[in-house]
Amino acid sequence: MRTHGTPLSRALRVVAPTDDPDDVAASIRDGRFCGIKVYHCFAARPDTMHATIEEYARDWMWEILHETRGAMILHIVRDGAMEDESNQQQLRRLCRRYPNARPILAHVARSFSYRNARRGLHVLADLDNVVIDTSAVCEAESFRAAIETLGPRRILWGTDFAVDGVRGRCVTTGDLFFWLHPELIKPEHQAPTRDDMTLVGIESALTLREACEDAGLTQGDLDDLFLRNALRTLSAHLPAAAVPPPTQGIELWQRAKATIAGGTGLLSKRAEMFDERAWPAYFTRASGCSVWDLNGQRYRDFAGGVGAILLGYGDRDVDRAVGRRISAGTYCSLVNPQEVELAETLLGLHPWAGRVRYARGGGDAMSIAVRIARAATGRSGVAFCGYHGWHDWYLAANLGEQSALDGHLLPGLEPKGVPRELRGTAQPFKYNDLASLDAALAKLDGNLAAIVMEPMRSQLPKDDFLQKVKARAAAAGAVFVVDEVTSGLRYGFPGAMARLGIEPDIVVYAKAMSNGYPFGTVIGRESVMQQATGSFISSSYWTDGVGPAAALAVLAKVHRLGVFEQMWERGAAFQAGLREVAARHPQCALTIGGMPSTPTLTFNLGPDAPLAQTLYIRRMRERGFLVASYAYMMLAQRDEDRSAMLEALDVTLAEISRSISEGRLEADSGVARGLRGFARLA
Amino acid sequence: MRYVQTLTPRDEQIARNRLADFLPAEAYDIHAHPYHPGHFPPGTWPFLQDAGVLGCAEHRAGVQRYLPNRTLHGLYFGLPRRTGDRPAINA
Repeated sequence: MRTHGTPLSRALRVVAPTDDPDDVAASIRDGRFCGIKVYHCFAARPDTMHATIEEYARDWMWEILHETRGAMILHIVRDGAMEDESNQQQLRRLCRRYPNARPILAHVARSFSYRNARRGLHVLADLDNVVIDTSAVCEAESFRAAIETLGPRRILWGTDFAVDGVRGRCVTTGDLFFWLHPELIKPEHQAPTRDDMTLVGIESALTLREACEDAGLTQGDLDDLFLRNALRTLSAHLPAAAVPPPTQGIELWQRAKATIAGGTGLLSKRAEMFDERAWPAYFTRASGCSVWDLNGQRYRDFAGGVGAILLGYGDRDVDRAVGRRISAGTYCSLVNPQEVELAETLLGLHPWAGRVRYARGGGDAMSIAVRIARAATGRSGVAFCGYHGWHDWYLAANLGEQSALDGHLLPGLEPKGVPRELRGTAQPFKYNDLASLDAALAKLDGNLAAIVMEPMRSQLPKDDFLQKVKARAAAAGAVFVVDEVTSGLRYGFPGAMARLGIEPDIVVYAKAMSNGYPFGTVIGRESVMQQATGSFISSSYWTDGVGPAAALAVLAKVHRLGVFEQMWERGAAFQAGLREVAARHPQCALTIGGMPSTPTLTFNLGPDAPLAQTLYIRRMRERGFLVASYAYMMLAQRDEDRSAMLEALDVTLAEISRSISEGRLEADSGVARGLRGFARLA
Repeated sequence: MRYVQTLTPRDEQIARNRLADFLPAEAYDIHAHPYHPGHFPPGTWPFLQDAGVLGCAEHRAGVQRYLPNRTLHGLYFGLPRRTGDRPAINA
């Protein structure tokens, strides 16, 4: 290899359990090898095809690889491959115990049967040090499963030379596989094309290409798969200059700010809202409750996609429904019939309502709702409580009065560009405060079109507050609009209002309703919706098929699994855990609030709060968690994710306490005292 | 079943028409087995009978006949067999 290999080529030592560990370690430390090759044939049993991983890949080998950051080509055996329970358990144990080892699971974790890949590869998703190679696999479906489950950053191209030079291919049959070679076909069964059965290497490359094309991989993905992933995996044993440098999300964020107004379209995703110094900012993939940044670093996400994700990222049922829609076409000159199916489903869930409208986001949908209310009443005034988006009707509240929106989730929203003629048309009131509502109504002086509010966010309604608000709207001949963009599916099914037993005139959903796909809906009483029929409300992409397909799948799954009830129950336990941890660190003055499915975390440290908040986000990120001042429960989060988060929080709060007591909070956070940091109000 | 030294016209056609633009100019084969017949008892690897010694150069030439590119690195390790001469395989 040293003589004829390329400068970046490397070798593995073929190792057996009976080998001398010291000798093996020395041969890696001195650079002769960059890792080891283990194989079932060295297991101490006659039927080695049934050997468990630990029988031929002993702990001492993993220990050496952990120390040297060495690679291991691991060809698992046993029927079922990664479906096999002992393979799963042992691999999980070894990979977690020796996180610096770089196991490369040969042959897509021996997925010569694509069914093993479809059903078993998910076990590898959260084993961060594991990658797979493509060698000799000839089933495109195995590659598709790997791309879907692990993503292109964890797949390394391999040939299994010289097996690649043999004619034939491996085929799936039942739960197993079978190596088909032309020599196995008896002459009487041979087709005229016998001699044309191609090479394993060609077949593998063709099927890999097909899978990559089907998945829409980019040239960058292919460069990773064919080269860069290998260089990263072997990086500890290669010249530093040969290894692709890590991409810092925060650097890309700086480029974004130079090219995209605001850096990105959602204020709540700006890096400055979290940790300007080290927020990963960008993701390469998201699955379940995991998010991978530009360097393939995995985080467990408790920020919940800013509330849009209830089931988990890349939910299979939702993605399949959307995939079906995409395959059939999402947009054309005719209308997607699922719009009607969804409308009938939504009206079935809201028996008081008579019509629906569709949008593609919460802000748009709320704007539609207010337009409908104004059209139906012939008035313009809106009394509101809470946060409702970016549109003129809402930001008008801050015209001439910069603080009207303070206390409604996002303070300091500037009304620049909002026509000053709208001044006085939007009047805020406080939750559970009828006097403030009455004051707002008085300011609108008989011009009330709508009362707009979230059913609840950080506190439950008291003294029949919602019923009284509804009664005031009715008495004024106004429309009672409830914004369930955030609360929908989280605080009740289909929303908080249904749980509270209150029927508004209009209810608006978005976010969780489509679990990550653009969608919003306005559901209203027949009378109100009919009165607004003449108002021109129309847009091309409000008719695309992705949103309705996603919403139908979400509604079916949330209903079938009782997701709201599950999230409320799990959230309550999690919230109790947060309170317990917070109580152990009184110096942090951390208050846990919010609803069980969306707990909030607030540092009551006055001007030091943004400093502690930034440090909290940074330290939690370093421990593998994406967090914010709120936590969104997701169905995909497991008990172990929540427990791990609480453990990390405990350590983090201890660190912040030390920073506070030693007077180092400003220095440690890097945030200047007095500058406003993350300002979302809970 | 044996290691093929020569591609058929159809193999070459597939490589030319469907694979030539697939592999980037530089690639890393993470799973490559060098082979020396002297390291194993006769008949251990029937598919490699008459293949001769297969080293890094043979690896590159063998792969590049169907996946042509400019630079092909490899992660090399011997074919594992209990009866193989592992000190020689690892040498």
